[in-house]
Amino acid sequence: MTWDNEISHDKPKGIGGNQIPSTASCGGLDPRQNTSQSLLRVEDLTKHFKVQKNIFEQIKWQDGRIRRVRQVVHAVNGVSLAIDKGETLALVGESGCGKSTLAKTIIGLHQPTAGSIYYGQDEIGGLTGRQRLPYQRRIQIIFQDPFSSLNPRKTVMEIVGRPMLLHGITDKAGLKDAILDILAQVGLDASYASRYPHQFSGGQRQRIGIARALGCRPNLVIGDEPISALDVSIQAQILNLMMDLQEKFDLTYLFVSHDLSVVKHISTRVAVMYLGFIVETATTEEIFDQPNHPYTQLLFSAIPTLDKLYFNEAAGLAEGEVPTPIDLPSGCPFHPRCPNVFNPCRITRPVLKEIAPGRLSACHLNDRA
Amino acid sequence: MNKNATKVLEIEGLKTYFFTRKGVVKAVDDVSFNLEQGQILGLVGESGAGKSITGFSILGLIDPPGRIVNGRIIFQGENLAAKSEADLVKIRGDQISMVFQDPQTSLDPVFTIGFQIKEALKAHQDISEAQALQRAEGLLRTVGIPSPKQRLREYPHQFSGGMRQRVGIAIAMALDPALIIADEPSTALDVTIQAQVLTLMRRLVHQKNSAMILITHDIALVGQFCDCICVMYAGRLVERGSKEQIIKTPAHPYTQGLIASIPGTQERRRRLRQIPGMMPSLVDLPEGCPFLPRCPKAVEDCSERPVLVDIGRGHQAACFRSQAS
Repeated sequence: MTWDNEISHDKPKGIGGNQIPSTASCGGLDPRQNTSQSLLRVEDLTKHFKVQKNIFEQIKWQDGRIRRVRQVVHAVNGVSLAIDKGETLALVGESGCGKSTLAKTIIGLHQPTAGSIYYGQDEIGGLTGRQRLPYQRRIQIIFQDPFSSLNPRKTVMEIVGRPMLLHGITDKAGLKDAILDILAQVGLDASYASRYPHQFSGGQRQRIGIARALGCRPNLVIGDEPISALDVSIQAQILNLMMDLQEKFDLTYLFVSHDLSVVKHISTRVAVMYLGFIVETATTEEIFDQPNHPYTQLLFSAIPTLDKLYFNEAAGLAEGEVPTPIDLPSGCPFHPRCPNVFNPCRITRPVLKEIAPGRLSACHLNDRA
Repeated sequence: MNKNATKVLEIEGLKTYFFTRKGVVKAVDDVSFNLEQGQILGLVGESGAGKSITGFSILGLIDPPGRIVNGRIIFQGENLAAKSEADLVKIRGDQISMVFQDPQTSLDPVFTIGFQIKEALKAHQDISEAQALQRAEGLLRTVGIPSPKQRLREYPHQFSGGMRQRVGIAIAMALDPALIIADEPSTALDVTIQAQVLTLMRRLVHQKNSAMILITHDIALVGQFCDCICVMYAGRLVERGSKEQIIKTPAHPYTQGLIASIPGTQERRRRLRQIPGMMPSLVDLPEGCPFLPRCPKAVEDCSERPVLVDIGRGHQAACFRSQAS
């Protein structure tokens, strides 16, 4: 079953919407138009944030004179990525590497500084407001923290029902049934519908968050660390739920996570991010088997697993931390921490190159060999 | 483990109850364990299992309606449970320190990071402002915060969650305590930083011959990092042993379920083995085994309360099934 078979109309109700593209032009829906395999494509996406937002913050007293300081956080730097239909792409990296910013830019919570986002054939990065709305429905997000991502003043019914009304999934008459249906799908009892978020446990709240996302009948669901705030035994339940729903509704996942054992289990492909750059992408088997990029190697050696009962001090001894994204290092972003650094790393920034079919890595070492 | 090593901490029959309007919450119910010098003990369990309350009880940080109703906490030969608040203040931060779970709330938002580290130093040591500042800068550098000199003048909101946690670790390590209670210290950190920070903490424990209790839900982490493991469920200690015993041959069905539900060890893209249901409310727990409603191996005996029984070489489990076999 896919969502699209069920939807007879695509126009949101009660929002006017004469500028809204029709179903046919909304990419990924019409197989005749969607020639490429990818559901979502990101090209050269860049997102920078200004540190000093206005002139008053910019003026600083430095070295005995007034200076104008304009710093920029380079959160996402020229990221290109394609997500194929039905796959689970995991975006991994340490906090501050830009993975959440990338996810939020894709969903439209941030406007990209440069670059494009394609949903099927349509460029959606520059769209705002009503023009964006039909795409907004196709791409939904599950947030990390189920305690802050649900409005404490709204009942479950309001939380789950509001986006469904907004996107015209159902009308008011059918709303209750639609909500109860989606709650049942995520394993919540119908009697919970009139309760408030504080009456639920973390795992149940995350189920509400999943119901809110699924209520819009999306094609792509972005999970921004959806299980990292949950207990271990509950994590397995939510992961199972997400995998079940993926199969049932033919969902495509972009799974943002720093938990590599979860990534190993759930994803089909992995993209590793460092300082706003994608440094390596490969299928899950390949990357866990033989990580290519030195950063991926460091990252994977630091995962605690049950196989080895000793503490991997080598990973802990890797000096240094992620540099500030305000002043990016010259050359390779990882070179100040890299154990295999050699001269070109400090000068030229390596680009993502195919090192095996379907496998990309951005490392000068691959050219040397 | 070295048999001649001195015991840093001995907990016997600790019971910490909360007397709420809804009933008595037995947050920690009859917990006993020992800790030796240079040892790292992992206290594992889900949230609400009572691991944090055990940690707070050691430091005497239980506020009404909670109370330590029974048990002894022997730290360096003295019973902390019987000590006055004034005595505990001298011990806290100096001899026993704590790294808190939530770096958002454990730092005061209206004071600079530098002030808060200096405050910890000056509370227990007679040092000058300049010395304190220098120590604070050194501590920030030790926990891996870049440009520490500038960061000392910044406020908690200017730090990321991971960075804030490092500040918390810096404060806890400031006075080289004999016992560090780390309550989910690395949960907010990334794996490479977690490895760095834990390596750092582990070295400190070994160098200073102090001891550490690592409270966490991450059983894989505990398996690598700790010497011995205590598994808690619904306020009770359900299993105790060396890390090899717990990870390789878990005896309690809860521990077995916990280990089995960890992704990464099972076949990929398949449903994970999950423990059904969730932990029961700690109010009015049934008298029997607290894991009974979720247990796949339950038998009739389980309606009686199981106690920790030795099942071999210091490995203890509170389960009738594991004791029978």
